[in-house]
Amino acid sequence: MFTLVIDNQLHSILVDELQLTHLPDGRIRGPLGHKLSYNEKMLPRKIYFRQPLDRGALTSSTGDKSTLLVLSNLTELVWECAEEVVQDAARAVCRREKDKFEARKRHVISNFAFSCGDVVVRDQLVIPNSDTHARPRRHQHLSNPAYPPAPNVCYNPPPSDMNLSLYSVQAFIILDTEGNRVLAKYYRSKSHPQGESKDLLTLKDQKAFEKGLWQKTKKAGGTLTARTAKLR
Amino acid sequence: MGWAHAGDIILYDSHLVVYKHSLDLILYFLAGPTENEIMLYSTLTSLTDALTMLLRNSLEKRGVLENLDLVLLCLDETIDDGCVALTP
Repeated sequence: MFTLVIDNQLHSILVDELQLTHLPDGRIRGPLGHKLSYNEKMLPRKIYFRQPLDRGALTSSTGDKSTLLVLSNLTELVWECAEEVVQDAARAVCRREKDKFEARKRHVISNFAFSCGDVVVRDQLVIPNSDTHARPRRHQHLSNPAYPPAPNVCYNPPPSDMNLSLYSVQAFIILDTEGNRVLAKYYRSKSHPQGESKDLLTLKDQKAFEKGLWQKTKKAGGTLTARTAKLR
Repeated sequence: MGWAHAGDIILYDSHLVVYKHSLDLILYFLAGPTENEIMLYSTLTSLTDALTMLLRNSLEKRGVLENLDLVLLCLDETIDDGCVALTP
């Protein structure tokens, strides 16, 4: 533990800059893992750092001008030290966030495995149980504020060209083995919600379409099948 | 399951096409690309079964042409102006 003894001016600077908070019992706690303490006269003050500093402790006796001057020159050193604290804190925060992220990822995977079996769609994430075989409870995150509820799941809307009516079939066609039309019925309902379809209106279009379709779907040994069928 | 053997459902020219080979014929259903192909294939299967029964177990070109009235009646009972009337 490294102790830095400072005067009032530096203390107020540090309080402002490091955003320290005054605890009810008179102590001051910073967000960066260091503590400040002071005596009844409020002079001098001390900062305890978690990391030892090899330059040794800096001391000022009282708050007189000369000491203040010296200390303002030493501010750089203080900030160097504070920087270390900041970096340390940042690393700690990163570690914590990473742990949180890992936990959430694990949880999402396990929760997904759970929801695969049933039809229930979960709109919120649930914290993983220590017992992984137990079903996760839905509102468990309320008891643990470290896991805030995840944002609601967004579902993709159906595509705009999706046919939501019952008019599903556009045509029924029977072709023979040579690709000739045996029977064809194209449905073009006037009451279709998306209006009448514009494609395959003329006989020419329909014939061309059927030819292409037959080319794609014909059987390799189609002619042989036809002959045997005729023989019967 | 009627759709046990795959390969009779294709997307051709931005149309969903389900088809079935039967002796010397190929029967097609055309639908929009977002349509449910399982439903369509099931419809085609039932229609093919019905036609096979109507034409005495030989769904071929000659039978279809000779009994075109029956085939069209059966089709109209299955597909009503583009709506699938009945599926198994």
